[in-house]
Amino acid sequence: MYTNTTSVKKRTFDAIVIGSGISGGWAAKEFTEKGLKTLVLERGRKLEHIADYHTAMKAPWELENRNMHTNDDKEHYPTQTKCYAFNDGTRHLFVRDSDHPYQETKSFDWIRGYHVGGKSLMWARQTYRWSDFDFEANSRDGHGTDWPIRYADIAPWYSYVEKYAGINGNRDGLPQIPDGEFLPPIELTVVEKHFQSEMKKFFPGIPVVQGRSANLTVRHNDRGPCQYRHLCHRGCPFSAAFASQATTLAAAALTKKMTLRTDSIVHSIIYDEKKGRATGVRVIDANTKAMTEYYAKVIFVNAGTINTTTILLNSDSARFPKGLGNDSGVLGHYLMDHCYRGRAYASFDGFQDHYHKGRRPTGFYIPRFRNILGDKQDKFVRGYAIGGSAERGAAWTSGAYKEGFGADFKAAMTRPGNWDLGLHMQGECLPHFDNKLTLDKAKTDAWGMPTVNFDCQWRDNEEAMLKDGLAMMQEMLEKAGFKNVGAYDNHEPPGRGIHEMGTARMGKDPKTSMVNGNNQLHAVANVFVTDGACMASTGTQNPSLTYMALTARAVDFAVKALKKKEL
Amino acid sequence: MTRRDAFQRIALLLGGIALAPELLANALSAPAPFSPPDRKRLLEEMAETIIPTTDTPGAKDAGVADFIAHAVEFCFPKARQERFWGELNSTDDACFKKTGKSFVDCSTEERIAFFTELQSRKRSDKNEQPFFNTLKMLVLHGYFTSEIGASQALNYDPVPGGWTADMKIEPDTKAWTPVF
Repeated sequence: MYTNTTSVKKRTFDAIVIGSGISGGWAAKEFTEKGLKTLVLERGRKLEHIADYHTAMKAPWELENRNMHTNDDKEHYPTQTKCYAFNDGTRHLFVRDSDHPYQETKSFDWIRGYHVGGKSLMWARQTYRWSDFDFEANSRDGHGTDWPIRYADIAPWYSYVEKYAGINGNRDGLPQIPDGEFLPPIELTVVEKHFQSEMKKFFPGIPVVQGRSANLTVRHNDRGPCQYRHLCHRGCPFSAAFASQATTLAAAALTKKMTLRTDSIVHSIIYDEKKGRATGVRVIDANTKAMTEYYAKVIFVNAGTINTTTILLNSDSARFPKGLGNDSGVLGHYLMDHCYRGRAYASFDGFQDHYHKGRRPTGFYIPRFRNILGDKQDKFVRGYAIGGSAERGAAWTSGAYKEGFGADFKAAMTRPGNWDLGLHMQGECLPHFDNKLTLDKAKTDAWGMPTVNFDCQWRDNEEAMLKDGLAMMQEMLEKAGFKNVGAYDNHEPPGRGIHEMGTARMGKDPKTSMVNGNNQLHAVANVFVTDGACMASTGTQNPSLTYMALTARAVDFAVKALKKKEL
Repeated sequence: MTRRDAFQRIALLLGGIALAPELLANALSAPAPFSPPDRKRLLEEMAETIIPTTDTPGAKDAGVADFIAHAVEFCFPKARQERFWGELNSTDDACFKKTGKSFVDCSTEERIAFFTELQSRKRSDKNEQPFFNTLKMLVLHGYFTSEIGASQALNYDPVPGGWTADMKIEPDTKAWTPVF
C-alpha cells in the first residue's frame, strides 16, 4: 500500500528517455553514467541481449520457410517484407503491419521494430561522419534552414561515440567523410580492388573506399570480435555488431541508475503552463492499456523520427494547440529520406580462380562527389553517395534458368557463382514543407493513439540527381571493364531508405524550426529531440552515427544546465 | 580453432543454451498436402532427376519434395498453387503420352529423355514462368538449403571467424553455403 505521495515519488525520475533504439540507448547511457536516475520507456517488448536472439545460430535448414516470404508475411507484413533485412530469421524483429496501421495520402514505407533496441538490431551499420559540406548545405543553396551547428561542434562527439561503439574503416583523408577513430578495416575483394584502381584511372575525383561500419574487427570494450557470419540483423551473440542492448543499454544497466520499462507506449508529454515546462509523460501500458504518468526534470524524445513527432503532435495543450513546442507550425513538416532508387549491377569475367572466405558485414563506398570539390552540376543541387560490393555467390542461386539437369548440372550448381557487382545510390533529399506527416485522430490504433498519415514524395531535385546517378554508375562500370552492365530505377517510395529524417528540425530561428543547436525545444527548455526528427537536411551519409553524437552532446549540455539550475 | 571449439565457445556465450536441435523449426515435418498421395513420389522422382545422388546424396534424400509441398502451400499465392499442382499433373500426362508410363515408372534414361524435351519447349506464355523452371527453382532452393545440400554438396562455414578477402581456388572448389 502506498500513499499517493509515495506513488508519485516512485514514478519520479531525474530524466526520462522515450525510446531505446540507437539514440535512446545513448541518452540512457550518458544520463545514467552522469549519475541521473533515468527512466527509459520502450513501447515494444523486452528483448534481452543474446538470450532472446533465438534465431542467431540457426542453420539455413532450421528456418521454417528457408527464407522464402510466406503468404502470411505478405498479408500481415506487407510493408516490412520490403525491407532487405526481413526474412525467416528476423521476422520477429519487425512489426506486424496489420497490428500497427498507418495512412498514406502518398506511399511511404515505414519500417519498424518494436522491442528493446528498436532498429539498432536490424540496421545496416554503415557509419560516416558528416562534414561541413553537409552542415553548410542549407545556407549555401538556400534549401531548408541553416544548421545552428558546424562540424567543429560535433567532431569531438563523433570521436567520443566512435571510441565507444567501435567503427571499422580506413583513414581515407577525404573532406566529405572526415576520418574518425577507426578499428582495423575490412579488406576489399580482388574485383573490388580492380574496380577501385580502374576508377582511379578513369574518374580520379571519385574515390572508392571501404564501407565503414559499426562491426568490431578486433575485440573492443569487452565485445566482439566479428566472426564474419553476416547475420548481424538476427542479433549478434558475439556482441560485435552495434545494438543498444549489446552496448549503451548494458552500460546504463551497470550504473544501477536505469529503470527500463517495456510495453510502454508514450501517449503524450505533460506540459505545465504555470511552470512553463514539461513535467512528465503519460504512458499507455501496451498490455493492459492503463494510463500512468511518470515525472522527470528533463525529457529526451528518442522514439524514432515518426513516433517522436507523433508524441509531440499528440501533446497538445492550451499553450500548444498544434503540438508541444510547435509555435512555428513546422512540426511534422520537412519529412525526408535518402533516395535509394538508383541501382546498378554488372558481372566480371576475370579472377575466376579467386574467391573469398567469410561473410563480411560491409562492402565499398563512394562518398559524395557532386557539387563539391570543384564539381558543379546545373540540373540539381547537393549530391549522392554510392554503396556497393563485388562478391561471388553460389551458382545454384541463379540456376533455375540455366540449361540442364542431372549429375553435371548438380556439380555445376555446387560451384561459386560469377563475380557480381551491385551498386546503390544514396541520394540527398531536400527539405520540402509539403513533405509531411499528420495525425489522423479519427483513425486510432488498438491503443487509442491517432494514426500517422504520410504525404511525402520524391521531387524534382531527387529525380534529376537520380538520372545523373544512373548514367554515372553505368559509365563507371563500363569503363572499369565490367560485363552485363545495367542501371535501373526501382521506383521505391520514400521510407524504404529507412533514414526517415526531419519533422522536428533543428534551426537557429524558433519561427522556422523546432529545436535549437543543443537539440532543445525552442519553446520548452527541458524537452530534447536527438533522433532523426531533428535533422534539418539529410546529407548523403547514413545518419545513425550523427544521431549518436548529437545525443551524447545534448545530454552533456542538459546535465550541465541542470546542475546550473537552468533547466 | 576447430569448428567444434567454435561451437563450444558459442554455447558458452549463449549461457549454455542448447543449440540447434530443440530450435529446429519443424514445419517441414508436418504432413504435406499430397493429394493424390503419389504426387509426393512424382515430385521426389522429378527432383532426383534434376539433382541426383552422386558423390553426395541427391534431392530425394534431402527431403526436397516435402520442402516443395511446404513452399507451394505457404509461399505461393492461391492461383499459383493451383497452377503448380495442375502443371505437375499435366506434365505427368505428357510423360504418359510420350512413354506410356507415369514419370515415376520410367527408367532413368526415359526420365532424362522426357526432361530434355520438356526444357527445350518454347514458352507458351511470356508472363508466366514455365513449369520446368519453377520446378528447378524449387528443387535448387530446397536442396541447397537442406542439411544435406547445404553441408555436404556445398561448403558450410557457419562461423568463419575471420575474413579472407582473396584466396585461390581450383576448378572443383565448392561454393560457400549462402547464409542469409
